[in-house]
Parts: sequence; C-alpha cells; structure tokens
Amino acid sequence: MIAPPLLEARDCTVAFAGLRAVSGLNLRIAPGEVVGLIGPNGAGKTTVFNMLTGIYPPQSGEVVFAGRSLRGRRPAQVNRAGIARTFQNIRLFANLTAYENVLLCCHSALRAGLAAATLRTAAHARCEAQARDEARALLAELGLERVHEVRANHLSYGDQRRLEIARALATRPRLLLLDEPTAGMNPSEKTALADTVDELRERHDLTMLLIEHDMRVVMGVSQRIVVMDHGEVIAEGTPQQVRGDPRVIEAYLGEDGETA
Amino acid sequence: MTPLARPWMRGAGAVAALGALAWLLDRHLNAYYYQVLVLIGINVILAVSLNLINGFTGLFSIGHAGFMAIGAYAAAAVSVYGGAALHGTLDPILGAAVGDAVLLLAALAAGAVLAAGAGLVVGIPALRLKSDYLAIATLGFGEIIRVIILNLDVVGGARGFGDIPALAGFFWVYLFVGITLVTVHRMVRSARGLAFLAVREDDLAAEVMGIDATRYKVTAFLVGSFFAGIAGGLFAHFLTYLHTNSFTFLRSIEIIVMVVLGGMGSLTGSVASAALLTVLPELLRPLKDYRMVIYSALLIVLMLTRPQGVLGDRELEVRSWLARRRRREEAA
Repeated sequence: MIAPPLLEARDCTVAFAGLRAVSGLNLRIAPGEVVGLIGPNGAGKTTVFNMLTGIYPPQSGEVVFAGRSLRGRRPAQVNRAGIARTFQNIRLFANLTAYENVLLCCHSALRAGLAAATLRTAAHARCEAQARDEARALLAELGLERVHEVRANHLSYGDQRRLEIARALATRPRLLLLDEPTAGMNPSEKTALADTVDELRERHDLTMLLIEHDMRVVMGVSQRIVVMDHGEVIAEGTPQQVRGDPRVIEAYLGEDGETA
Repeated sequence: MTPLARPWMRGAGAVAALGALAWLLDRHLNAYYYQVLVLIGINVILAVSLNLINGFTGLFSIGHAGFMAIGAYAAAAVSVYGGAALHGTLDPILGAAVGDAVLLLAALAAGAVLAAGAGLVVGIPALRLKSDYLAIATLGFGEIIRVIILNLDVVGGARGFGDIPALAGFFWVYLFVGITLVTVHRMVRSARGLAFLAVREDDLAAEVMGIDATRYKVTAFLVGSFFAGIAGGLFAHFLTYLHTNSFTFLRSIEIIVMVVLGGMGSLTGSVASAALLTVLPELLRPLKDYRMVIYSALLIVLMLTRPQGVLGDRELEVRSWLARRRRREEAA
C-alpha cells in the first residue's frame, strides 16, 4: 500500500478479565477499500468494532484514523472524527420513527445547538430544514421512503438493518463499519443489500470494513478479506487467496477439515 | 413584517391576554378556587420539568422536591432579607408594583440558578449510575437537602420560614407555566433535541452515533432543576410560608406520579395529569385519609391497563386532531 492508510490498528489488545478477545491486532485499511472481516463465532470480530469505535479502547496498542491517534477518545468523538457503525444486534432508537432515527444523526446539518432551538433563531430554522432534506434523501437511498413515520421497532427485520445503515450514514462517516448487515435476511434481500452497499460506497466515497457470515456476500463485496480466530488475525488477502488458505479452512472446520 | 416580528407579537399578545385574565380572577374568583388554580400551575411546571429528566431523557430521578426546595428557600431568602433594600431604592422611582415585580423576578432567578447549580452537582456524578441506582442517589440527595434546610436557622429551621411577601399570583405562575412549556417543547421537539430521546432509547448507540450522551443528561438535569427552582420560588411567594415538610420525598413521588400518569414523554399529558392530581385530592377532601389509597389504586389500575401513561409519548394537539378528523372524513 502506497497511500497512507485511512485506518490503522497497531498491535492492539483488548482483554476482559484475562480473556484476550483481541490479541496483538494489526490492521490497515486504505482509503476507498472494502475489507471483509470473517472468522468463526467468538473470534473477536465484534470486539474489533467495539475497539475501533471507542467502546472498549485497546489496553495496549493504538488505533490511528486519518493520521490521528484515537487514544482517549470517547465513542461520540470517534464518530465525529469520521467512523460510524451498525450493530449486529440491532440497536435502533426503538420508539422513534425511522425518519427521526436518521434526522437526529445529521450532525453536520444540525450545527445550531439546543439554545438556538429554544430561541427559534433563523440559523436553527436553516439547520433543521437542511437536516430534514438530508434525512429524507438518506431514507430514500436505502429504500425506506415508505416507512418514514413507522416506529423503528415496528419495521421488518430487513428494514431495520437498512435503517441502521441510513442512520450511520447520516453522521457522514469516512469509514463505515457494518456488523453482519445481512444477518436474518433472505437470499434476495441479501443480494439487494450487497448491491446497495456497492452503490453507497461509490456515492458517499466510503471506506468499509464489514463483518459478514454469508460467504457469497462477503466474497462478492470485499476487495480484501481479513480472517480472525481466537482474537488473532490468521490470514489476510484477496477472496481467492483466503478461500484456499489451509489455516482458514482449519479455523472454520477444525483440524480434520481436510477430510470433511 | 419580518419573520421574527410575528412570534414576538404573538408572545406579547398572549402575555397581555394572561394579564387581563389574571386581573379578572384576582378580583372575582373565590380564594379557594384561586388557590387550587395557582397550585395546578405550580404542579404543571414541576411535572413538565421532571418529564424532561424522567420521560424524555429516561433518567429516573426522585429528587425533584429537593430542587424545588432549594428554589423555594433561596427565593424566599432573597425577598425576605433583600426586599426592604430593593423596595427602598426602586419604589420611589418606579412605584411599588414595579418594585414587587423586580423583587419577585430577582428572587425567582436566584432560586432557579441555585437549583440548577444543584442539578449540575447532582447530575454529573449521578450520571455514572444507571436506572435504579440513579433513583436511589437522587432520593438521597432530596432528603439531604431537606435535612440541611431543616437545620438552617436563617431560613427558620424547624419552625418554618414565614413572612415571605405574597408576590406571586395567577399571572406570574401561569406566565412561567407558559415559559416552561415553550422551552421544554422547543427543546425536545427540535431535530437536535431528539438526541434526548435517543439517549433514553439507547445511550450507548447514541454515543456511537456521535451524540454526547453525558452532555444531554446533564442538560436535562440542569434545565429540569432550573424550572423546579422556579416552581419552588413561586410556591414560596404564593403561600408566604415554607416548611420542609412540603418537600419530603413524598412530594417527589407525587410529581413522578403526575409524569407517569400523563405519559412519560408527553407534555400535554403532564399538564393534564398535574391538573387532575391537584384537583382530585380537593374533590376527595371528605375522604381525606383515603387520598393516598385512591392515588395508589389509580396508579395500579393505570399501570395495568396503560403502562405507557394516558397519552404515552403522544401530544394532544388541536392541529393533529383536526388533521386526523379530516383524513377520516376523506376516507369515509
């Protein structure tokens, strides 16, 4: 990689009471890249996301984003720096409508603060109008225009996953982390979502890291795949390289994988 | 007409109408009804301000009576100890009526700022606590405030604090009802203010989406306790006598009941239930001992049938009601 990486994790470790969920992780993601993060259950993939977004800061090592260390930054600050994510176990604002979920995350439009909202200043009115337009555009982009006024917890499962992406995009990230975006979807929904992910990457100039269990989706969408097991990266490369790697087969199928 | 001129004029019109109504009520309403009406207003301020903390931001606080007490005693101290000096300087120039108004506003401001300061002091450490732990911490705070005041001789201690000038009546109370409602409504119904609700729904997800959850929690405590302080100051200058017995944790519970009954996250619900729960004990006066029984029974029935409160998080709005009716007619 010649271009400086957008995101770099240097020798990062996250441990919970002695259990090393992520151990000595090194990760470099170039601007514009789509990287798939795969591995068996419990390999530490979601912990990597929690580490990158500041929920569990690494106990050792360092995360550098766009040339600046994220050390000591809280999740909100990490997001404002340009990293957004979705959650594997959907964490929408359940009692708010789809539209409200997206609207309240349009931070770049909502520059005027609460005081301006209370005093109903002209700046506040402009910001609100801009945020409303942005929110509507994002919902339309993810095919959610018909469910604007539906509460998030009343949406179908697939729509909830799409709303998670719309909400993350509202914060105008440069790096988008998708945690199992197609979990629980049927095959046609999965194909549609994979297409959407491609389009969004183009249109919003995104770099992406995605955790995905569906191999067809992850191999199709990603330019590069990182495989984790037991908190460590065990293989890395193009989808073709990774597919044939004996360590990967072993991780997924156990030591007798060859005979299975 | 500039876009700004119109809301200002509407505000001025509302204040003038309120003034006229107050003028009439001050002269023609019987003292008992007048008192109930004013207490409804004070309870509305308390319920709406607590709703910002408990209902919209989802922080379970049982300390609202404590903030109210701080506002009440601080405001009363200002007008009792500073009243003569202020009247002495202002009255010869502006007249006694203006002197009264300035004194009341100064007293309310002192009470509100002090209460808000207490809100900040409680808010910041308390925000490390979740749900039930936060409730217990705020409960403890309210009791500490009450016991401290009980032992402060400057504000009467256990004898109570009397001779507070009667400066607040219908006009001032309902002026602040309006200000509280407009402020909280504009805060939580703006796109930015949706962040309060996001913090309530899932504060970790809100953080990850770039919302400084702590800031919104502290803001909720700050604004909520500010208006509780105002309510306390009005209470002091209406009843002219304060005793710490008015600010026990039972008072906090009463305010919580108003919020829960009306609907956590519904401002109009808080207004309606504050009015109902102020009038109800008066109507039940013949059965006075049973008042708490009825209260409790009402709560149990409500929680069984409508756990989200009468209005849930919806608002009673004439506009949306009209729109719904129009849609129904079109459909028919």
